Amino acid sequence: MTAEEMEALRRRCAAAAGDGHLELYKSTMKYDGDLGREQHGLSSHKELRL
Amino acid sequence: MADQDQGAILQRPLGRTGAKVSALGLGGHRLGDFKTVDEAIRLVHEAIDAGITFFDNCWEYWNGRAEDGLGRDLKGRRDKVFLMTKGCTHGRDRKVAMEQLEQSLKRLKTDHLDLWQVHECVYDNDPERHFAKGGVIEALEEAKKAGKVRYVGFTGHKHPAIHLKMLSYDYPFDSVQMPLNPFDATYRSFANDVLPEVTKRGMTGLGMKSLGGNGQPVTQGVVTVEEALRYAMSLPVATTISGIDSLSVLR
Repeated sequence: MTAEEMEALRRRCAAAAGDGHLELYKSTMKYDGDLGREQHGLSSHKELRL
Repeated sequence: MADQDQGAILQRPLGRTGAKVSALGLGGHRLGDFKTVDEAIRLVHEAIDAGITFFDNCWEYWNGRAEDGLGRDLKGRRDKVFLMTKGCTHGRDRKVAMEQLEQSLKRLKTDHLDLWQVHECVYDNDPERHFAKGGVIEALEEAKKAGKVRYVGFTGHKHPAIHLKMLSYDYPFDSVQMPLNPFDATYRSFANDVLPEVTKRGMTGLGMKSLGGNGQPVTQGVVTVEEALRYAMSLPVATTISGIDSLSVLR
């Protein structure tokens, strides 16, 4: 993809992407593994009902 | 980025290491969830035949089944791939990391990894825990010196600030894995904030989650699969790791 094509795609996606709902691994805990949560003293996904 | 065409899949340099890897990498998580052994083996063999060399995995995927399966599928083909897996101390010490490494090597049926990464740096205090005395970074050094791993890196999907904190310790990682896609640019952007710093330091970026992690942007009609993949692979990264869950998707 050229730089111009990439910029055009970013612009096209910007409105939908701005609140993070298309990147749930950043905006929620859904992608954080249970093993890591356990090692940080946090509840499991099952307990949280995520 | 200097690409070298070797058939269908481009081979790109892995930062300063001198190694080259396929621009498309095969994600390991999906490999642990195949309905039949035969289908998993066929997918791995076809991927290799098509020119994919970068194989991703992780000590904790499917409680080790993903590594077990890939070790089985790579029988007789280990030397054709660049094999990466991740250690999952999540803040525990060097000893835990080295025990996990030995388990990964056994499951993957190999005597060394090409790349071993610290998995899932996603909590604000992960950098401090990893770099603490006796922490996982010491295991990376020990493993390299023992010839059990060639290169080392870290991964995470949460926030650019955590990646930058990992980099602030000035440890010579070879690779840094991060989510990269057309949506990233406008929300906590790894492409804007982390990738330039990684490149400046002579490390290589590894892309993941080109479809947003769950394909939702595609099903919502925001982008096509081709657009998202082409975008991610056009960024200055060595490889874009993608989960491929069937032969038809691979083909």
